[in-house]
Amino acid sequence: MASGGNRDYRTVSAFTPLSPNHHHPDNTILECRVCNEVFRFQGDKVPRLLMCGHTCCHQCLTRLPLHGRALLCPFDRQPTEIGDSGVWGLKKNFALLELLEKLQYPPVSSSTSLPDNVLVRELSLLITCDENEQHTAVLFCTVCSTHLCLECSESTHSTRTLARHKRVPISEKPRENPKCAYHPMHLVEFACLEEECKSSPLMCYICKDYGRHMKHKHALLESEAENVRTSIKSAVQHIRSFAEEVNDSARRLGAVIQQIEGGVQMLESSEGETTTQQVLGTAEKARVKIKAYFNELRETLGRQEMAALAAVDTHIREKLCSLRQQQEDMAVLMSQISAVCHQCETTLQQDDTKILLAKPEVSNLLETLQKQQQQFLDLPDQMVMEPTIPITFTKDNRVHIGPKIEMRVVTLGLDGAGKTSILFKLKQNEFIPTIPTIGFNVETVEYKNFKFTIWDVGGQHKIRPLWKHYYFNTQAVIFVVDSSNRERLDEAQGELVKLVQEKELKEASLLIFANKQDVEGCASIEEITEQFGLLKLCCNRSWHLQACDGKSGQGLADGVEWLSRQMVASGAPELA
Amino acid sequence: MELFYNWWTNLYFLLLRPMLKLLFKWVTGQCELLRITYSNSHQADRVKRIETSLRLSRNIELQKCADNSDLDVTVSVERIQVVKNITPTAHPQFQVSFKDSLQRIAAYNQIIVQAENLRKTKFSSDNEDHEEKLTKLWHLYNADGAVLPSRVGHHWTEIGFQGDDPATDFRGMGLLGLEQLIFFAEIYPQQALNVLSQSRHPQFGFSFAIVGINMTEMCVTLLNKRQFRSYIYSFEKPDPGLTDFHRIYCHIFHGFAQYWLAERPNSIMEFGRVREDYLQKVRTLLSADNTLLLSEFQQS
Repeated sequence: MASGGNRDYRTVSAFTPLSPNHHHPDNTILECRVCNEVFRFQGDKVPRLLMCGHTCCHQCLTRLPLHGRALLCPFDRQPTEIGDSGVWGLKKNFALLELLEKLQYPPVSSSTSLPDNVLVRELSLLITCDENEQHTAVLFCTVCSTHLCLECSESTHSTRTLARHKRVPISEKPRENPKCAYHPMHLVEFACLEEECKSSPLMCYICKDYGRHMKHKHALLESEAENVRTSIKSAVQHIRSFAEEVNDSARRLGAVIQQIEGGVQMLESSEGETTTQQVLGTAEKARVKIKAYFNELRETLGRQEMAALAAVDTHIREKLCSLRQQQEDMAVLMSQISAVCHQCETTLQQDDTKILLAKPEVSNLLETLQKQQQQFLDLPDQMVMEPTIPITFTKDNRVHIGPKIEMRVVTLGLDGAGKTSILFKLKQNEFIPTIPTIGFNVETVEYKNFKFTIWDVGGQHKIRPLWKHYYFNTQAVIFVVDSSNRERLDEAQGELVKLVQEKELKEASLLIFANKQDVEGCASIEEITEQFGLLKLCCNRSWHLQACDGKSGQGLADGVEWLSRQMVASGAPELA
Repeated sequence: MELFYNWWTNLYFLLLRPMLKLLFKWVTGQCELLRITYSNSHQADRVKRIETSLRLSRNIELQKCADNSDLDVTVSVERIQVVKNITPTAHPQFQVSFKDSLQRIAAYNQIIVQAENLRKTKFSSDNEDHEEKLTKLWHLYNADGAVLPSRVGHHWTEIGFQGDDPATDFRGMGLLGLEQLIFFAEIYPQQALNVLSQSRHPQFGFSFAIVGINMTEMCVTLLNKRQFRSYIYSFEKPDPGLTDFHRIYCHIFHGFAQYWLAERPNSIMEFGRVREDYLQKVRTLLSADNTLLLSEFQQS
């Protein structure tokens, strides 16, 4: 048997694919003579045998009127006794069914076998063979309802009768409805559609017509199952596309990681040669950028240090030079003085006549000496005698040698914001109700070691276009806002936006005075910051919003202090 | 140099001047006031000298006469005659002349007080009177009869205010600025409109109203520094008033407009310089006696 295994496989496999749309054209012969519909293996069209030997379909039998406990044959009116189970109790006409089967699925030539791909598919189901637990079943005998492997199928169906059993691949085994849980005699044939029966929708016809699901909405089990299948199918489809999406983003993540990390890339040149190239990842690029930036910073710092040292050196050289010059002058003066002294003394030693004769000469000498004494006294000695070298570092790392740092400031803002009032308050510390500024005012204000030259330009709408002539070389802009006039805050913001975008003012510090804080109901600092969008508008530049009130001068000093700090590098020693 | 100057002025006012006065009195037998009255100098010059003399007097009562705006002139003359020991019968002319001088000084002080009061009156939108004046201003400067579209609006810039609400532009000069702009157009409508149209020159234009307010400030400063004395003291009538000050304003404003055009400035930004030059020019004129602060159109 084992030696002829291969051949046997082929001869044994008596299967035809069982598919619902595969109907043999000849089977129309076997039809119920009452309803003229074709008999079926199961369901309403199952052929049942009457006592008289006639056969009728199940459906037609159920429709026959009952005469006591008997049905009358529609052909010869012979009664057939039926029991408690009604028509279902009548025997099926097996001979007819066998014939039907033969007509529908004519015996397949013994040469057909399981194709390899089908075999593999069946094996993958991993259903053990009912004969031998170590085998994997691939066939299902529709008659014995057993799962069999090819080998066992051969051995168990070796007899002539059994060999006729129809066996199909497991995956194509007919779906057989289970028995009803409440009526073990009957098959489950329907599904209940009611919401309340969701947990146990299966029912047989008894449940449907008389039992639990009486008058419930129902559908055929097959169609309902089909519905569920399609819905699961669509769900599967959906899941597949979702999985694809996940996959896609995972791939993209991978690509991004690759880009960040960098690595070797294969490049194909036009001649078809592949060359490998080391590609820098963005991480490495960022590192390089940082290194370059700080290198440049170091270089700039080095340059600035050199420049600062050079400036100090020049200053020291000049100072020492002038000091030495003065020292020499002093020495010369000293020798002159001693010479005069000497001459005076020698003259004193001489007799009366000679003294008289020498008098004009001596007085001449004394006169020149007196002149020199005057010059000596006139020397601004304080400056010369000061050994300290006052150094201040400006924000751009230049050194400023000398007592005062000069700064050019432009005051701008809408008309009536209080620019001129603030200027005069800073200058003279008094509040004067001003008149509209036509053109500009300019004043110098000294603060600590700073000398601010403040240009106060009129805020009239007509002359705002002329503001730009005052931007050149301006180190700071003071923008004055009238916080008490809420209606014009928008207009003020518009002007401020224009200022911030000015190229010439890119480096300038921006001090915003929220003026007139003494007026009740004025906009607070927070409100103005919010409304002007200052955080966004002024990022990338040094700015400061200072609440103030020109009348009392409150807040002005803080603002000016901030301005002065903008000029001096942080950490630089401050000059008192 | 400055120290020396201070020292010298102190010496002069503390020691030399009283001594000189004593010397003069001893020689002429007349006190300073009497001497000034009798000197046959120009009227304005005489009043100025009397004012200076009063101001420098060591007698508090006399000092007050120089700065008091509502002085009872008759009473003051009598009191001073007593203080200075001047017999009215011996010097009948003194009484008349001195009274006249005192009256003029008081009138000047009166103008200062009135102008200051007006200046300190803030323009208030809640005051109907003020609002009425503003409407009047609009109609005066819109001779074609254009109706004031609204209280606040861009149309105000047409006559040279800074923004939509002219009220803010009156901040420093208060109601005085408004009054003088109205006065100009009301008394000399032709010239006022001339200046307005001139202010709209495409190249040498300026903002009419705020320049007018600026001129008010210039006038007030000069007035408070008593720079208009020689003109106001030389009036024929003994009691010049605020309208005379307004007339001076018209003259100065009109003069400035002409000066501005003659200077051919590059832009309004030169206003500060031109104004300073013009002020210098006015000061020079004022320092001379007999300056007439009236334009040709005002003299008829």
